[in-house]
Amino acid sequence: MPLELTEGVLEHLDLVTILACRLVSRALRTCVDTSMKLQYLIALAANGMQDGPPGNFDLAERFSMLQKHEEAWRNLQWSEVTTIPIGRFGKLHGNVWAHWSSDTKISFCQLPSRLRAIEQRSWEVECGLPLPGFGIDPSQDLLVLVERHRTTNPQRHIHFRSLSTGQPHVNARSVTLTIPDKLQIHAEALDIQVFDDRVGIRHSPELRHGLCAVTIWDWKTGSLELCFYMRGSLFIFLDKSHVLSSIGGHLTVYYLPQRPSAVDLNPKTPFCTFNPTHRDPDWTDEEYSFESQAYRSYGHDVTAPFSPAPEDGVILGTINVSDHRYGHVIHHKLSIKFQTLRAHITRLHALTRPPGGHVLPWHTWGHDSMIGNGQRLRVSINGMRCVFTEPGRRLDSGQLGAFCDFHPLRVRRASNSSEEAAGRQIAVPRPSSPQFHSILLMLSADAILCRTLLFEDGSLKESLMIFIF
Amino acid sequence: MPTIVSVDDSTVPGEGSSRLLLLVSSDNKHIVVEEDIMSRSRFISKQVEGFEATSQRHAILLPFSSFVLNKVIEYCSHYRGYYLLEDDPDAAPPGRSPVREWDQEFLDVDRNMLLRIIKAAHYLEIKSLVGSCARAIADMIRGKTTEEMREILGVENDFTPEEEHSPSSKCTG
Repeated sequence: MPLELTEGVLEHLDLVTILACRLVSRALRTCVDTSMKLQYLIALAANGMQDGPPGNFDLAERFSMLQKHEEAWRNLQWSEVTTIPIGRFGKLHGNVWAHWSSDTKISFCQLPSRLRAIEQRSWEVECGLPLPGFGIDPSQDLLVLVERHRTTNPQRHIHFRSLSTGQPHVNARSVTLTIPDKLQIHAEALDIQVFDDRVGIRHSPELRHGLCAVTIWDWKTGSLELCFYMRGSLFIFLDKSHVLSSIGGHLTVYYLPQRPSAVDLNPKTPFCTFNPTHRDPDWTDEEYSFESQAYRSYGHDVTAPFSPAPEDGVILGTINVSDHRYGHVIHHKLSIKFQTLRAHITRLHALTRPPGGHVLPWHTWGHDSMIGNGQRLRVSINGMRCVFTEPGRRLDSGQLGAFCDFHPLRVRRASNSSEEAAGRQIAVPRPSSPQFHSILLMLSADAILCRTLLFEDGSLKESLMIFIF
Repeated sequence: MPTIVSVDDSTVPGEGSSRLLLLVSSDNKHIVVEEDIMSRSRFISKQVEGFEATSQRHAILLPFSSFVLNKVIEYCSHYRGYYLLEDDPDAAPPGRSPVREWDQEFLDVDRNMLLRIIKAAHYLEIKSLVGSCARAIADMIRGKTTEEMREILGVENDFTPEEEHSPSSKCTG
């Protein structure tokens, strides 16, 4: 077969098969080793990236940008530092910083990237609603607004708008959804997640049991697809049909069939539960919590040469242990990759489901590592990378926090040893100027964000410093 | 050397139909096909441009069997009049070819046939068909052992023992 045909076949394959092809024959090995396209595909997979849409950059440019991107993140060498206004109730949504510029107006800032050639872009959307809860998905140009609860008007609505214009979204059949009375959710929308056709809303907890109701909707058809209750703040789509949350320190997975037969408003039992009870004789009074800010940060940067692979992700769990021998609380962090969770779920789908759902005890999870030094850490996660800050850390220290990568291939290439393969942790250096106090580190796909206090004209000013890659 | 056959333009049927081409396969079968069916092939299009320039229409000789040629014509007939991005010489080259359901069924043939079709499509410069065949071959070898891949692709293990066990790739370190 001519070389270019072989190349055409191999470019459809995954990393493992491409590498296996190198062992088939000399011609195939030469093809893999000399083809820039295949080398680029190998580098994409090894970096947890996927190729972007064609057009803006040719292959050589993409490859060279990817190599620079990898090197910059490996050594935490950002391209530039800039500051943007932090705004009122500012929050990071994937790669977009959003805050309220007035009671009814949201201000968005698309964070730039030098190494992926994404421009910084700011725009405002007038919602016409007083401070609703909102969620976004830039890849679908979707802005979800959930009205606030008012005793005078118990009928609340969910609105699906265009993220760029604020107008009703063209793909939503029923643009305004009413939350059914039957759910009796008087709580506000705390967290709104979007995955393709599905929108999940986590409502604020009811007072008696501290449980949050979660409702999942198909935003295109307007149907309510699932309702369940959870405790804690972890709530993300693991993939199209699995939602991950936590209840009482357990990690729970809810299953959403592709086309639910009938809309059932009764709370669902989980598909499976990861039970973290550890029973280490030295550990007592354990308390567990899980966290992740897994936003789908890919797809929307249509001009970028490559984007983070959508299937990658990691959840960090915290175990707080009261150690009676020493009389203090120790905090441990463990990481579980999405890939590991998905493998468990695929395996469990082949088995008969018990009435309360499958239960996986601690030792069968395959959690990947323990990090941290016993201190309480604040974490921000993007894909498989995360940054930590230690609240109360001395402000004059030379570092802002720590950066950790959990991507197995990136880590292996960076450290060249298998011991570190579980997670690679390096310090985020503190820039020498300007003088500032750092409060919190956050992570997007292309930047480390640092919430800071700056002294300006004799007064303290809060702002957002971004280290752009 | 096969004989060159002239095609008379008077064979054009009714108004509005496209002109005819005579294709000759390696087993010397003569196949008459409408020109616009084959316009998806860059190779054929270039030949036709040549005909226009010299006002002489010849048979087009192809180095593969009528069995394969008929399969390619079936593909081209199916997509007659359809726009496929990969076949547009003016469009930016797309990334991987998209999955097309009809193609998957159409290419559900044994591996030898698949390899012959991809070579024919390559010769005829039909990028969309090359892409679909490449995808089909890739589906065959995905997850297979190196020994199985050799069998599917019909290649020999030509490594020396040392070469075979050299580090698998510089990229995964």
